[in-house]
Amino acid sequence: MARFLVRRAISIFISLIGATVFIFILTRLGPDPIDLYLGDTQVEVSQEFIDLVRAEFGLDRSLPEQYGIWVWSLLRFDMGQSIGSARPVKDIIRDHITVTLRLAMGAWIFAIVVGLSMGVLSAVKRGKSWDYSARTLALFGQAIPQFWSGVMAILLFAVILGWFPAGTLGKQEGFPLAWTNLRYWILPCIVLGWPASAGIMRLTRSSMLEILDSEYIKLARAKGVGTWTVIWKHGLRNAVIPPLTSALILMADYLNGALVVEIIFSLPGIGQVALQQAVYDNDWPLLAGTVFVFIGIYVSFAFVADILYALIDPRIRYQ
Amino acid sequence: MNTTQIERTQIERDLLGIREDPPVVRELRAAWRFSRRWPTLPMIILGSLIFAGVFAGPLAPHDERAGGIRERHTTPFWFADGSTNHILGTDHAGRDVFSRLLFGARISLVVAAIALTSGFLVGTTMGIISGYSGGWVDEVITRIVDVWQALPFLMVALVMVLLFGQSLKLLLILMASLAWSPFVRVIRSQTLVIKTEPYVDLARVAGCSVPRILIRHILPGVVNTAVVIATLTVGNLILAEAALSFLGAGVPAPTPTWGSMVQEGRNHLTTAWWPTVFPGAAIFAVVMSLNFTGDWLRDRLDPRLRQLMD
Repeated sequence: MARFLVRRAISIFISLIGATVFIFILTRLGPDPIDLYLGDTQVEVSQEFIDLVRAEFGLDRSLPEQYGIWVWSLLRFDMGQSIGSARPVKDIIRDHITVTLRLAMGAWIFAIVVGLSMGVLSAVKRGKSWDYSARTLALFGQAIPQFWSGVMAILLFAVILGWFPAGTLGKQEGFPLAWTNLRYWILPCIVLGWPASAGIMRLTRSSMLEILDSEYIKLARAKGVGTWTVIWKHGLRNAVIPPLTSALILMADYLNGALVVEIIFSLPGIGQVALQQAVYDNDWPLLAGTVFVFIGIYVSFAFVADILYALIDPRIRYQ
Repeated sequence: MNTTQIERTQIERDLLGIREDPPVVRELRAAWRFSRRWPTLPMIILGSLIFAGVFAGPLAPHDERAGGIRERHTTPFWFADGSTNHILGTDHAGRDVFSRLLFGARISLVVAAIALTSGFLVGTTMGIISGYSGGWVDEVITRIVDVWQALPFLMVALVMVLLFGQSLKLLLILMASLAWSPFVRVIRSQTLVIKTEPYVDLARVAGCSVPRILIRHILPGVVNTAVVIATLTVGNLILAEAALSFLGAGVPAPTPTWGSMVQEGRNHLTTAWWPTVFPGAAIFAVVMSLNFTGDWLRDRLDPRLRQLMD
């Protein structure tokens, strides 16, 4: 197990290094960052001022040096200063990441609850109408563009039916799970979690079908154990491993969607910040910082999923 | 039953209690069986997508970029105050939604096709090379794919657009960069299996060069799989392109795309739903058909893939 962990840690380290190199090259491939900073100013800017700004952002050093400085500051959780608002990137991200994490968490819970129960249901009722409707919902979830399902959800449930607020977070006061707070989260979480739940549902279904076909299930049935006890205690407990571990990876994949969902529901998360402040203001330190946070979340999720998988299923360790 | 059809008169049938379905029901039933065996509806949808994309110019009743504030938010034709002049109504700038849909189909089609072709070529090549050579080459390629898949695509795309400015060329590069990685892993594992086949050893003994072995002996074995992965990836490509357009990072403004139509329409959602609903529904229908066809192709061409990809 120790060897496995070390191997995984090394490979994750390499992934992170690769990602930093990639982001760094990306930010340096384009036009000179100074031009982005100065924008399309018509005013004549003196060379001295340009040099001053260049020195302030450390752009007067050589590229490897700049990369080293950037990585070193990343290790100290220092992501430089935002150009647009002259605040540390770290602070901006800290202010907004709770919203993103809550959104992701809510969506994840939705995806797991719905995905697992639908998967079990459609495996148990294989070939019946339950199975078909669950699979159709999953097909829908994998084909629907989130920016559109979000808008449609707002149109239907907020504008026409008026059940939920149409966006923004309102005042989040008191107990976080109280209805006055919770109702702002329900639509975004469902919109974000639906495609993930489709993936989990398909996995649960196939692994459940495999387990239900096995000898010990037949034995349990033969000795007269009740149908639902067989399904829950004997079936699901064994079938749940692959969907649960891949749920972690799936959620990390759907962080991409968090960006879109935040924009549609005007939630002040880091995706929203990245787009509105960083892209429209040409604020590349902020953008690089947010991209790195996204990658960090993805990689740590993947790492946890790997460890969980190895803990549960010893065969993985020796591959 | 089907082999020996006994001719009976109507009276005989009534006496024996044989009820025969009327021809309409029989045909409907046959059509249902046919559509279960062949993906008919998805094929029709995809066919009309290609048709719309290719013939967008002659088909479109109006100029897709020209509007007029007087024609703002005209309702679709089935509304009381709608007219057949604008079948699906107009958007907030008075532009014809139907014509914009047609031209949007063209963009989706072109982007998906080019991205997919390049992704197919690069991904399959890398997969074969990685699987066949093994060792450090394999290690490096798998590592690159790992890093690549850890990158949040939309964010990276936004960075690129910020740095290089919005253009069709950049969009194509971005989409192609998204398209190749799904191929590598599956093709690699497929190659690992084929590599051990006796005919590959024979080819090596006979003195074939490595490129020849790769192209003549390994490639034909993985091509089916690659086709299946391709059909299963197109849907995601179209979704990604739409999301990029939605975020304002796709094809630059005057050209209509389905994603940007949703983006523009959603600010006027309460006054007019049609400029938002139709393009989104189009994406949904097309991606759904693609996924459906992909699943069907996979079960036909390469059933073993089900375990690898689910």
